[in-house]
Amino acid sequence: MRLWALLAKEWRLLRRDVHAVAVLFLMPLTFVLLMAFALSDLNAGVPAVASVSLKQQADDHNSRFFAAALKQQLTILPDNQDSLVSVITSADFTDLLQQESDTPTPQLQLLFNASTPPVLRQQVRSAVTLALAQTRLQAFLRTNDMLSDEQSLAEQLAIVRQQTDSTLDEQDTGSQGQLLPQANASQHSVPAWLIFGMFFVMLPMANTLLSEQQSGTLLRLKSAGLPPLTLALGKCLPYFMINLLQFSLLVSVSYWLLPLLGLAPLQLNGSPLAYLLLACSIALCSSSFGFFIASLVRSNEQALMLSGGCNIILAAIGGIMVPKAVMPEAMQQVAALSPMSWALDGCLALLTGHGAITDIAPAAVKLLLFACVSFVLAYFIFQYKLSRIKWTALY
Amino acid sequence: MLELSAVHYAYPGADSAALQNISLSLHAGDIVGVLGPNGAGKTTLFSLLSGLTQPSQGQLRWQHNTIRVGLVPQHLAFYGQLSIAENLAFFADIYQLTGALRQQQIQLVIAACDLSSRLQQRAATLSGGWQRRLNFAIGILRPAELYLFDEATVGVDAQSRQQLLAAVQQLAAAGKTLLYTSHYLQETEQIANRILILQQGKLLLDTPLNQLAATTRQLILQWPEQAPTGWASLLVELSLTATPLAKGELIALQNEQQWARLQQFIVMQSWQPLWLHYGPPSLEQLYLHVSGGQL
Repeated sequence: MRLWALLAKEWRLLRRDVHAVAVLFLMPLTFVLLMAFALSDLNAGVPAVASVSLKQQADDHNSRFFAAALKQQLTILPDNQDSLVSVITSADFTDLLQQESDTPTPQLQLLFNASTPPVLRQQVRSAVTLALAQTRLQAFLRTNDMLSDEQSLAEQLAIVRQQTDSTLDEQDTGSQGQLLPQANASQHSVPAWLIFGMFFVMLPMANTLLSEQQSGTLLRLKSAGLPPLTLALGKCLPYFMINLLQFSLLVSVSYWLLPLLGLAPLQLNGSPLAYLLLACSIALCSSSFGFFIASLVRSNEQALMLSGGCNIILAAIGGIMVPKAVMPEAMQQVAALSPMSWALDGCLALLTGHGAITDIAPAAVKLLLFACVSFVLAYFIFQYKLSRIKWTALY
Repeated sequence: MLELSAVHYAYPGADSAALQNISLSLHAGDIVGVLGPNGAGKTTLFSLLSGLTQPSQGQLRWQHNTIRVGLVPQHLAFYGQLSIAENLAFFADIYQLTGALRQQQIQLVIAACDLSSRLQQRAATLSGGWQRRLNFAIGILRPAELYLFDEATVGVDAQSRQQLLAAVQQLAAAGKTLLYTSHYLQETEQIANRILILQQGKLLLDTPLNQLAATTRQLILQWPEQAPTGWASLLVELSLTATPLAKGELIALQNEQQWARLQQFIVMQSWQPLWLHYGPPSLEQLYLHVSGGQL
């Protein structure tokens, strides 16, 4: 009955704490929606076409062909319009195109604004390289009379594209090698911010425990003979349930609300039991770690700094903010230390890999071990603090 | 019911002991006013009695194996975001009150602390006086053998204070033991039937207040070095007992004749007392003298 009373009390306090509700529910919900919008073109099949400005210093056939070939892949902006990327061909473009030398001179110049993102740079590089190859092939075909000058530029380009265009059969595969439909953007973006939000229970946990220490309510609870374990569970279990509620709410919103906003819905692939196991593992991990942080802090300032700092650092190294795939190898090894990374691996195994319990088991085991270690450490610190409570409640 | 034998407590790393060689017995129905300046050891004594700390030396012996303690700390130890009713219900659960006893205790403290008109109001939005009353109510909600009150009525208006003091007296009448600290000495004098004065961890005085009140007069005096020859034998002759104080001694007198004999002896001496007070007992005078003027 006493544990139930502690749970009910914590639940009431949380419900009435506007800041805690904002941190635990509104903030992750906002993150999920914003990131779903921001990353909505990811894996959409038709990537956004980059815009460049093209400055050509020659008006010969090859230069015109290159411009036509490039226009097939990129948007060429009018001269008076600013662009992040400028493609500049020289006056001797044709000569440079056909040169055969051990130290080739660049056939053209690419000017990137310093703020140009790497993805856009790569898209422009690929497009320019393909357009150059097509122009070179066109020149070869014309030299060998396989293209006629009587043919229009468009006709020549169509013939060249027949030779150069490729059709790729791109498929996603699961852990068992089975073919899977390609995951949409929401499958990638939702779990990261869902996990980030779940770990934010650290802040309200630390604040409520601190408030109980400072007000003297912990003194009353201790003097009422409540065992330390009951007090510890009374602090952890409500946040475990809050975590499960966060998981359910954010998954439901991503499943039902995103399509209403014109975004790709979260598709709940994989075993339902695996979702339950994963949700419980993440919730146990974050609530135990939250209890550990809560047992350490001695002031509200420390609570804010330590819980916020830990959350952001674990997210940064755990692939929440930057995908692990684009990290250098050394950072990927560091990422493997973050519980958020394990949680994300588990979520992706389900959402994109259509996994079963066996697929998320490694992640779940790591999360549960981390939860055990955090809880045991926190429990000893908490017991020590309880033993030092004096009548004045200040310690 | 509760016996403290040569209890000693020193905080880790502290130069001096917070409590030194404290021996006393607490009985059912005692309302013990604990007085002493800051750092005298009141808090440590309350920590020991509430079971929050264990003595470094000495023993605390309870009549029963376990003892339940009701606490009214100086801090407002409740949940501000819960209403009065929710706070009472929560602590009733924590105190494992069930069934009729639970309802009875809750109704009892609501009536004793006059909380009924704002039961649904959140504690954080109550005025300071109301918050004190709630703090008090939670403390006495627990059916206990020993109750500890630490500045329980600070900030409470005069009318409500009388109501809370009446609740304290009711608990004592029901056979509970109460320890009470307050900087309002008149308040302590009003309800306490026994006074403990602590200073620098030592028990300077442990005396029944009602006994003092029952006597018509009291004499407190301090001789310069030692009492003159014949003083001790005069006290024996008059069947009087001198209670030693930190500075001087206290003598409770039963009639005017005793005072006349003592006065006659004193004026005949070649050296006079450094300090002398004769009159009706006053806790404030007693406390100030015993503690050497420290509040």
